[in-house]
Amino acid sequence: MKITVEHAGVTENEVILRCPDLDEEMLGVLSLLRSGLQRLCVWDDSRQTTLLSPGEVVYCETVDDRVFVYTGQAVYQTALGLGELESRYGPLGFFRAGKSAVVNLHHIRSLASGASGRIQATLETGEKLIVSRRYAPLLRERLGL
Amino acid sequence: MEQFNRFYLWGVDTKYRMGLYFSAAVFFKGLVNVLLRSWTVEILILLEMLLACFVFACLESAIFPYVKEWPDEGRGRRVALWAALANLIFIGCAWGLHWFPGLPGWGGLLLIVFLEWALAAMWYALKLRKKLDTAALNRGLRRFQNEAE
Repeated sequence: MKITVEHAGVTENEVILRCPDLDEEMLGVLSLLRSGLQRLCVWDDSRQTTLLSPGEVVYCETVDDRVFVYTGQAVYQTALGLGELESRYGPLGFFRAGKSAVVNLHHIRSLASGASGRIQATLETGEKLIVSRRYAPLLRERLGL
Repeated sequence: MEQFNRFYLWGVDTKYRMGLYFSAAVFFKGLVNVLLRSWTVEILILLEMLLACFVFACLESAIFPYVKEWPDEGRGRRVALWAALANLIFIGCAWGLHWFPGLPGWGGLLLIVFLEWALAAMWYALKLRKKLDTAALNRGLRRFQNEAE
């Protein structure tokens, strides 16, 4: 397989696979690329990096310009911003709940209609998170309401 | 411009509330007048009612702001204050400004009972709407979670 890396003035990195058919070799490359894109690179307090599956993430929040990633068991940091997390993992259930939080909809235990149009989300960890009035209509739309 | 927009939205919401209370006040005034065999309502009383309803709608918007978020904590205190102000303004104005002249004492008591019932019914409607909304949200959430599995 011939590998070519071109440096071009593009706004977004692009990978193009050219092949007559998607054979096993190309499928392997594809799955590697996809898994690489979907894994979230995070690090903990001891600066040990981990590749998290997005499904493990319960919610993310910004505190003092740092983005923290909460799983059920641990807290990590990531270099990605909340906007990037939402756009990259949105199809996997990530949802912007407020200016400083992104929540994984698959880890919400229940929702409750709150005051002045807000929605209170109770997470599987028992923590409560408020979906602000600005994002509440988007959540309703996402849930098909 | 943002300040103006906020003020404008507040004005629109407040006028809706004012209209709601005013229609209830006019209904009861009309009903009492008909029972007392009077077929007219004084313009001055209507204007006083409109003003009282506007004041109450303004106070309501301060207790339960429409244009900004308020915490769920202290909801009970806000409701108590809202109910107390409703009683103070509507009973106070009806008594002080003679909105229902010629009404016997028991009729006044009946109107007060209606007022309390209406306030309770209004709050119950809000609670019911919240309960139904919560149920719909959780149905949507379960559907979303099940579809993804």
